[in-house]
Amino acid sequence: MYDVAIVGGGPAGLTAAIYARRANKQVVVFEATNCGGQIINSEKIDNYPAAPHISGLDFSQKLTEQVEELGVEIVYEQVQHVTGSYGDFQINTDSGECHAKTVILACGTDTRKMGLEREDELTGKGISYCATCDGHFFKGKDVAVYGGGNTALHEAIYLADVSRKVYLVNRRDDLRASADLIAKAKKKDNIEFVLGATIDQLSGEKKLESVTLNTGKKLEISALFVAIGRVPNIVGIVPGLKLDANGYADSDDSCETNILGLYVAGDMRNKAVRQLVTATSDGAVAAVAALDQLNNPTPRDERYKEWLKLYKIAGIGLKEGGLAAAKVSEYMGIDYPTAVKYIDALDKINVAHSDLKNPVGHSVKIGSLQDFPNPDGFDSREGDEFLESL
Amino acid sequence: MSIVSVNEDNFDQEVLKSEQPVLVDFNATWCPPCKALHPTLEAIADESTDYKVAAVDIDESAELAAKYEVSSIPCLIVFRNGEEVDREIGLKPKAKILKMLEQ
Repeated sequence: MYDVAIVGGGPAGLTAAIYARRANKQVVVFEATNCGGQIINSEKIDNYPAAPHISGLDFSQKLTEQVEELGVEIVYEQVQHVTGSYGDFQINTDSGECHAKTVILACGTDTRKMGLEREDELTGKGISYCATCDGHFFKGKDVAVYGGGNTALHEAIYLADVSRKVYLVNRRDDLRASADLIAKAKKKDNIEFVLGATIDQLSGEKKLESVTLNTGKKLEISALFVAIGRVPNIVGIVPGLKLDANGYADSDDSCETNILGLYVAGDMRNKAVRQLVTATSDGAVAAVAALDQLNNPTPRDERYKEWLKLYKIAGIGLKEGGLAAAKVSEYMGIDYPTAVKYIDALDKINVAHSDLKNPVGHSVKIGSLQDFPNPDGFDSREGDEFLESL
Repeated sequence: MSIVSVNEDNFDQEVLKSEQPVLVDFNATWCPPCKALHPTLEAIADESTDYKVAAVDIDESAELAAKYEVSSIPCLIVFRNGEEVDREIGLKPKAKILKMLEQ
């Protein structure tokens, strides 16, 4: 039985592994192909703090080595299903099964397909999802990029230096990509923008020769680079996991899902920013939440609710001492003088509500709760430890 | 066994005339997924003598890449008795690659 099983060996999953392993837990990572995730395709990373210009591949390799050195087991198998519940999740892979008390899903996303006839057949025969991998094969040819986001623009700019002509086809009239990328692309003479058009048909005998747009226009091209977004890799892996309308996993600030003991991290989470740095951040947050669950038998949300309730009462107490003390006294079933002392102790807890929601990274000091009663399972431990346990 | 480097000069000998099945990895030095796939292929090459693992640098052997219509890399092709029997594009898990060889 593992303490923590992590599904996916990208930056989110591997960071979670580091945190869990350093807390002395038995950790296993399942990876279907190679560790590193999507970032391996990035030629250069320039937005990760303190590691400028590192290549995606170097980043992945260093991260993988770091995880292996810590003694995390990495199993190279595709996970089919995760079932069970907190304390005993069952993870089924291609060739077997294993059990873990908690699970962190960090499966990332995959390229979105166009859903057109012959798309699979022509993939690798003119249709590609990676310009830096395959652009070279179409040196001096006419090609098209489909999409209007940052990836699409990156690909078009890269291909403009390799191919003869690049059509940039986008469904909408405007481009989602960042302004600097659009400006860069517009400076390339051989990029032709075909906006407000969709690709409806793929043609070619043995390989891609042309695409037909919804406008009826036909583009004679040797390659089509598809960059119309990504889709989360989790469909059907975990029965009962709550997903949003786009298939991303719903979770709270602590990366907890609707299933107790099951967490999500990285690009497959429903969130606003999908970057390397937010993936590693998720990994840490999810691991700390899992560790917290493992170290505290009382469900975390119950303790949290209880805490907030007390804090609210104490909050009133700061302004209207007498009333709050009466309420605390009534709520906890303790005498009035003890209630006053309790509020004094809570008053020393210099912590904002936002910190309470996310206990990771805060560094508050609170007074000792040693002298106070211990209703509703509250520990009378030292302040930091007490807050950590939230 | 380690991975055999193959080019236009020795492709016939090493791949087509091989008595064992051969897994040929068409790759390039500038292709990140190719590099990422390398350790998996090394492990496969080390683990068994039942088959051979060969690597073709598509820049060095552009004609071979053209002949086998490789236009997306990494591209793995399994040859048995000189014939292509299976092909996969992109990063693949070890289990899947072994399955290609076992068929």
